[in-house]
Amino acid sequence: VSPEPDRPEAGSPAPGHWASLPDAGSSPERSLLTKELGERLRGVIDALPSNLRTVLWLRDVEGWSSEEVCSALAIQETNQRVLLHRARSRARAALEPYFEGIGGGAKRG
Amino acid sequence: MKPSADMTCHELAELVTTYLDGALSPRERERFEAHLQGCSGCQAHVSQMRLVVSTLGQMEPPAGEDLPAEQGRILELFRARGLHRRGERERDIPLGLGSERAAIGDHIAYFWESEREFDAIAGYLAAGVSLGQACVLIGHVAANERLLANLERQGLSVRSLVEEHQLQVASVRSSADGLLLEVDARIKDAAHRGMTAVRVLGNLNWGRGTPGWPSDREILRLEAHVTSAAERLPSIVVCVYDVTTLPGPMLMKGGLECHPLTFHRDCLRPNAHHVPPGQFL
Repeated sequence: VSPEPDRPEAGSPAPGHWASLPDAGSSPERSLLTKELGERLRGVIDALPSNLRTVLWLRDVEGWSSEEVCSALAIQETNQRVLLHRARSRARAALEPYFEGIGGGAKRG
Repeated sequence: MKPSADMTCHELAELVTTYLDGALSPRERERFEAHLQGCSGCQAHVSQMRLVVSTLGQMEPPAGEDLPAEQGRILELFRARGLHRRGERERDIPLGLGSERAAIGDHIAYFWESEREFDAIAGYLAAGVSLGQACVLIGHVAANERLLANLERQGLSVRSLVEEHQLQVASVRSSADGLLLEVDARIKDAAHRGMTAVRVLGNLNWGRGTPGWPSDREILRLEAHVTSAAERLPSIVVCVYDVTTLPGPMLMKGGLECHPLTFHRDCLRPNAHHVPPGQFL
């Protein structure tokens, strides 16, 4: 299992807590960035290993249920969720600069 | 809460997908939500994960020929089953409001001013029930009771509809995430019972300010995510907005900006003020 790029770091101020706060952002500039999110995500999906890509694509782009994905790919529910979680986490991490750019950067937690 | 039961941010980050799938055990879910309630970092994290999911849900699926063979094969299978949710949405389901028709995946803001307009909402539920769909009410107990009384007046037996799970009264939770999970669970339950679609009626503005009620901020967060949830589950969602008592910002942001469609003065209309969640949140 490769390490998630997405986790709070072990060396953060309180163990197991965010080294820096992810920022949801709320300013109007967000609208300018939104269009880019989709394009950026496309790149992220293309770069994923095929097992992650297939699960992410079916669940989140096509909107299949987890049961449908499990039966189409003949995989277990837990396995499906692990793959989906990794794929989504990578996508989120790849969009981090956008989230930070919007909210004016990270705060210390 | 005892420190030993506390969830860390790290644990929470690992469980987000399971949480969003509604697959945590009740105990884990309780720990998850307890942590989330008090941690703005994790709230932002969960928000971002949701934003990723809803942005993905708005992407155009690639054309068949651009796909690797393995994905193309799966897409074929999907389309063959007639489940593809993309493309033109045909509005052919009687909405039960005026003489309008709706499509699965619609998320509608219902603006009401007069008592007559409020009572007319029962038509939305009655139409759903008559089509064999499940109806989920989420709102203040007084609002629910009034709508259910209107259903009775139309000759429907609320008691037997509730017993058959065609009518479900969902519990109100104070967070957007909790509410989304609650609605999600009801929709999945109805789908498992073989119902073809679920009509959700949200009336969260009635109980504003009462203890345990979601704050305006949480209601707005919920609304921003409902459109993509409605599109991925077999549901129609109508949210009720009282134009005479709600403050302007709630009407503008919650009513206008979060709904692709509005119903006002007996007409269903496409809403040019709708803002996708990526821009809204």
